[in-house]
Amino acid sequence: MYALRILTRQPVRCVLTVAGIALCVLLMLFLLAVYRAVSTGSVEYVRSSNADLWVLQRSATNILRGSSMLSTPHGIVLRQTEGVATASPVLLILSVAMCREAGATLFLAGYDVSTGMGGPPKIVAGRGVENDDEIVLDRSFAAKWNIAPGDAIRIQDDSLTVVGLSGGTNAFVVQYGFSTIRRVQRILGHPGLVTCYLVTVKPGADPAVVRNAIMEDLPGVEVFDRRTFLANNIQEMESGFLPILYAIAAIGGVVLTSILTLLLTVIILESRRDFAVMRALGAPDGILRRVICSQALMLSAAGTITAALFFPSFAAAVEWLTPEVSTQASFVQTSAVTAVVFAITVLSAWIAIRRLRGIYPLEAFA
Amino acid sequence: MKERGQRAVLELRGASRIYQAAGRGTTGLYPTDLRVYPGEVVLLLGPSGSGKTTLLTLAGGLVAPSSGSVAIDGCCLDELSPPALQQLRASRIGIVFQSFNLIDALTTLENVALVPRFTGLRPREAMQKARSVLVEIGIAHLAAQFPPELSQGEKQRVVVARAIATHPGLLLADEPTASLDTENGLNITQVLRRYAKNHDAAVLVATHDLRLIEHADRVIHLSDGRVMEIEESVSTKLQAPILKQAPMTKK
Repeated sequence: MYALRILTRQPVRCVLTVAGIALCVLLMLFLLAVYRAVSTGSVEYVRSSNADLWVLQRSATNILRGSSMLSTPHGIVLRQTEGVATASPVLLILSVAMCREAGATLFLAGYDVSTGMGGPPKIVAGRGVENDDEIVLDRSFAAKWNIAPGDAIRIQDDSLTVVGLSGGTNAFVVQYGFSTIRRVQRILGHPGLVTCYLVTVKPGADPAVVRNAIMEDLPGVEVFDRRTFLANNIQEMESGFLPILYAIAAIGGVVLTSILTLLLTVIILESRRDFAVMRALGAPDGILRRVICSQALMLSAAGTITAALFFPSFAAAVEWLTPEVSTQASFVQTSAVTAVVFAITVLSAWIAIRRLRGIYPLEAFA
Repeated sequence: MKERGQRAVLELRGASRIYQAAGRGTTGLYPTDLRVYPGEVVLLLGPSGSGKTTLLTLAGGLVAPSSGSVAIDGCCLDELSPPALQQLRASRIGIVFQSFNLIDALTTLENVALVPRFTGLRPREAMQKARSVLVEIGIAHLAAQFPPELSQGEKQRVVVARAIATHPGLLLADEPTASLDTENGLNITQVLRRYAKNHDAAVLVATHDLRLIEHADRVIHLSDGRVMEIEESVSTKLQAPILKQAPMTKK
């Protein structure tokens, strides 16, 4: 009761503190939600493909930040390799699309529309690509540029009609677009160039055996099974994105610790006489420590609940303002943030409690 | 009437206190022997800086003596661990502060319930105990009030209620009438005296209020950290010399 009354004795300060804590928690929740959306968007393309094997140029391990150049003849050899059912070419290039008279970078994927391998993982509006003058755009990209199915965009000298929007194709720094491999090769200016081949094996064939056979037939390529290739891409995505996220989250944690510690210390100093009196009256140290811990927990709980309540609206507002920023919240993430906030609360209370050591019962007689 | 051989509630044996400040020591109280018995009201009389509060804080175990020893109910405070000393203060020593020192954020009832809580009672039991003490002091109607809403006299009665909430054997009062008018001062004095008699408790009062002399069993005059004189009240003559210190005179 004492802990709560002391907090509410200065209601404005209490509200400002809770707001500060809520903002820090909101930042952490938001970063985690963005991370989850980015990690999904970056690798969903790989995850959702039905390929048993990915064939790339030697030394290329992923499609996010790896450079791989193969050619059409590689496909011919692949299709003749024992155990291979299909080998679908995919060409991935960074391209500039003219949208509403402005240039926008697009991660353009050309794929074989007859097999569908390497195409959009999910169509959320419209339909998939059928002809060379059609394109499917990532939905956040389309939202950002206010493009809808039926609109046209220009890439170099070619006009492409947007026939559909895809989901799971927002890699945060860049978004996917999909067209036929012929059109993308034409945009690149090298008709025979391919980034990688997506291979399916015949029923009953062992992908590991087929992989070895491919590497024998094509010495200059790397062949990955689906799981390894997915792991490579996730690792690549995390190595580029996670450090930034951790740094920002760490700053949020430090700010949160500072806010809590500062307020608790101020409260201890303001209530110094109360604590001295309680000490003189025989208060066990545990009770005094409990008062500080209770205050820290009350503030953190209020801040965390406030952040959790505001998070959906906040995320929606951010996505509305910047459509390329997607968020995906989950119970596990919220629990993780709550655990971190709890740890920060304990740390802040511990730092503040050290102030109690300098309060002596004799001060009650001053 | 106290008899030689009766066990003292409070016993100081050559207890002194030297304060260290800026590298040099200042004597707050010279070595003093003192025993206070159950049911006895002892007044510490003297001007500011005479050592009254120092003696009181030594008796309450709030500071350790620089020399000698302090015992409550035969238990030497030096031998107690800090938690045991805190427990003893909460359960066996009541303190009435000069400046009330009520906690403004708590109601009267919650203020009084603090000390029982410190002894380990559950909140509900502590509240019950506090309620009964408020009734005993006659201020049950103030239970829900916060300290800033109380008059000076009411505050002091609440402070006394808090001090006696655990029915301690030793009650220490620091200038309990300093902030009160004559009528309220007299009321508080009577409450303290009644408590000493009804609960067989020892009450040690530091004051410079001469009006209290007639309510005391003994008066100890202090000056510059030394006991100058012991005066027994006309109503209660103690059988044995219970305080010795040089220089001192005895009437």
